[in-house]
Amino acid sequence: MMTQRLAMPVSRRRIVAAGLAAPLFYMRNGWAQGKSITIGTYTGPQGDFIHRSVIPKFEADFGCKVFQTQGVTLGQIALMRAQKSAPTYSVMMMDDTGLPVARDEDLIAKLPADKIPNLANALPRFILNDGFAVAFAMSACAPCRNTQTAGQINSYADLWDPRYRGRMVSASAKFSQSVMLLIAAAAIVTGKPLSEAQFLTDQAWDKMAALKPNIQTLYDNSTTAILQLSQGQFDIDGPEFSKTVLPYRMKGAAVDMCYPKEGAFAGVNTMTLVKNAPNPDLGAAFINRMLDPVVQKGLAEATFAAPTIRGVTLNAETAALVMYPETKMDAMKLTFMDWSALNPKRGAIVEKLNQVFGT
Amino acid sequence: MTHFKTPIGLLTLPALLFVLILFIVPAATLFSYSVLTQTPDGRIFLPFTLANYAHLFTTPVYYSVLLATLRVSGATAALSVLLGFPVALAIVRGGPIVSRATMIILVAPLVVSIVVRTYGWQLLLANSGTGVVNWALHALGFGPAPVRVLYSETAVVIGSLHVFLPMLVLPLSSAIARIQPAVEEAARTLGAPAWRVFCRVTLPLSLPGLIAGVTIVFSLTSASYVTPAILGGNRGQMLGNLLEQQVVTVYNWPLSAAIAVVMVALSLAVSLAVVRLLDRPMRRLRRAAELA
Amino acid sequence: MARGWIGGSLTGGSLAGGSAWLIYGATFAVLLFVMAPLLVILALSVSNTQFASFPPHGFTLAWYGKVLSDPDFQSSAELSIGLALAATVAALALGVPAAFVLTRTALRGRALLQGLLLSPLVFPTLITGLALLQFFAWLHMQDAMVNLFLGHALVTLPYVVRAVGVSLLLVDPSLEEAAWTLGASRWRGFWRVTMPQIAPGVAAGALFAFMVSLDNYPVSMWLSDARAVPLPLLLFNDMASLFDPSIAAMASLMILVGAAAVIVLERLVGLRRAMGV
Repeated sequence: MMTQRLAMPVSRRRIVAAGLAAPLFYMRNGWAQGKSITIGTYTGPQGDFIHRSVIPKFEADFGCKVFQTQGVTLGQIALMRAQKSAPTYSVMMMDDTGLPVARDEDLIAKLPADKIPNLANALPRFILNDGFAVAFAMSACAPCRNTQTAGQINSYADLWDPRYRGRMVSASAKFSQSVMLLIAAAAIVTGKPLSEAQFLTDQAWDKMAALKPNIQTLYDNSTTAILQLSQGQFDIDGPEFSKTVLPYRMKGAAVDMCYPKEGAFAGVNTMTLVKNAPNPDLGAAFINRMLDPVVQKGLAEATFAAPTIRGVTLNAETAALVMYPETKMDAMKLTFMDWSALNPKRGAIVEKLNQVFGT
Repeated sequence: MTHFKTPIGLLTLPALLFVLILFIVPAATLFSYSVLTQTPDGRIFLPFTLANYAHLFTTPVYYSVLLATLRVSGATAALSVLLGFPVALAIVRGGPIVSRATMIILVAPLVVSIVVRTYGWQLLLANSGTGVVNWALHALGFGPAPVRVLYSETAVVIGSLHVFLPMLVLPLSSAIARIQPAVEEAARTLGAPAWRVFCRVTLPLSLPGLIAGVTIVFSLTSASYVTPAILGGNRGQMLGNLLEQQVVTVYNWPLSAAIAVVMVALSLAVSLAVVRLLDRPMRRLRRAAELA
Repeated sequence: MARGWIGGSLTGGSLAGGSAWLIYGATFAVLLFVMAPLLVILALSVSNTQFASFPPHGFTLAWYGKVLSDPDFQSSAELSIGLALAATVAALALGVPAAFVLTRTALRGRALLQGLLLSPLVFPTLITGLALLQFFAWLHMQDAMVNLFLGHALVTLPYVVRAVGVSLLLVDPSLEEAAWTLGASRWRGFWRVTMPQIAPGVAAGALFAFMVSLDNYPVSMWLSDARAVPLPLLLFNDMASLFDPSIAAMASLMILVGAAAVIVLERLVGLRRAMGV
């Protein structure tokens, strides 16, 4: 009798309880319910991909909110500095250029390997600064050309060719691409590989001055520069990131990347955990999500940048264009920059670039 | 001058406090950075040092860019007078339709983002057949791409002129409107030709507005960085660009602050110089014009 | 009156014949110069091509549809307009009394006061934005909306002070004094006599403040965050993606809004009176 009387209420309660438990059961991440984090991402296609394809699913899986600000590395660092005593951001994406600075100024925290299981699957060369940052995409930086008016660029020395007089552009001193050009000049002058030439930039200035007649301008916006390149306002641009050039190429613009024999520079896009951030566990979970094989594949194919974890199978089109897997990176002499050595010299480099290329 | 019993100056207090707290204090703090030292972990504190200013004076790039800034700002200010005077006259002395249409066309672009407007100029002045000007000239039969003005100081002047012209026309129009038409008519009935009336009567009497406008155009141009970055390229750099680079790329606050101090001092110095220089001759001319 | 000359009879106004055509001609050329980049952008916004390049091909309004239906654009536009309105109100509340004191009283240190109130105008805006960011961070003020509001109020205040000040200078104080001798109280005299006369100046200051806020990039760039992206920032971020005609469309919408606002002001109070011309 007791069981009979209890049968209905219990079963109703059980149904209700089961109903309540179901979402929690599937949402293993009930701990994140109702929490929110703010992340700083890149602008452009990467930012869009995260906005459209990563955040909605992450929010659904964790029952949380993710607020995304798009910006550039230097802006992200400025924000972190300004907010040092009371950060609002939990995850900051930035170029490897910013890592030594962020580290020195104690703005980022070491990535907790226990909260980011996917870290074990990341390629070792992409875990940076003693585990304070992990790359989520790598975009090769090399010269690019208008395919109708300029031939292949087989060596960085080709950029100095008189046939490009007034027909070449490059990024202004504000951008890290300008430092890469300087390093390429140093490599030509000293005959050393790019990885060693980056410490010998002092010897490159005469060579840079020799480049001036070829330079039509040093531009402020990479995206419009590639558009102008495709329209024939100039013939070569060097160097630029593949993630900026390839979207244009895929839409039919007459531009393409060139990979000189000396190698290409690695444009490393990293993720960091802000020190003393709100909801750091959720931030770590987001970083983990970005390293997920499905996300890595989608991101690579949407933005034409290389994944940073093992075992991603890209579609044929993307595989042909990006530097992945590791064997391809080594074959094409992908060079990583040592920003902790370069950053102290950056002020002087900026001034000297303005001087050499100014009036 | 009306005098009120209650301390009416209190009315300015909210505005004053607002500007003081939100602007003067942060700005003064920033200027103070120019004589302080920055530690590797980003803090800016004592000891005091003049090294930043010394660096500015001993590194040649700052001097050449300073000269470029003066050149571009001066050219923009001068050209704005040339272009702005007819427009101001049209607004004040022209017929009602002309006057209103001119005002609307002149003032409306002020709401459009400066980034957008400057990219519009980049499209216009592009150094190839895809530039609008070159395309138009080519269609008219001139060479493939005769105009090569983009990425030069000239392009920066053109862009700055476009942005800051209204800042001259408005105060100038205001000043011209305050000239009693009777004065000009008197001169004309005495037989003076139109240009003479302009030089001897209109110009002197409108000088206060002209000077206000010119100094504003100069100041705004000398502080700009968007237009030189987009239209000037490496050959059209101005102090604002160097400032932006040192702040955003190098993050050298003391040096940036020193550059900012120089920029503001430059702007103030020119404004004061113009007012001082033109004060006495201006008063003389005005008195003469009023007597005429 | 100097009427009956050629230029005068065709369009009214008081310009003399030969020089009238010179002035009108020069003005026309200058106005063409002013409109040129905007016309280019408008032309590109209807181009039926992948990229925003000149010359445009074809005609399509699809890009406008894409922009107007974009939720990011809608929220940005809402934010920018709301921000501009709030900043304008604040600038008016602070600036009108200040302008009054600057022009109507013999307060000592007036020139200094005026210089201080107008200083944000000529200060490099890059620095203003950064200084504000540092300042708000130091005060732990993390609400981007509040920070944007304060920043915009700061940079728009000088425009109000200047416009209203100019307008006040043009008002004949004897009219107000006449009202007093006729028995009106001081404040009544001000409200009924002076205020209507400076209404155009106030309107002009308000319009300028609104437009400057809507257009502002340097201050917005540093003070915004994920939840508060003003239009110029959205535009700039979009330009970092692919430069297609939708960017030209967004810019064109801002141009059209600006033109509309100015025409409305002209209709309501008359631009010339508003600008103190």
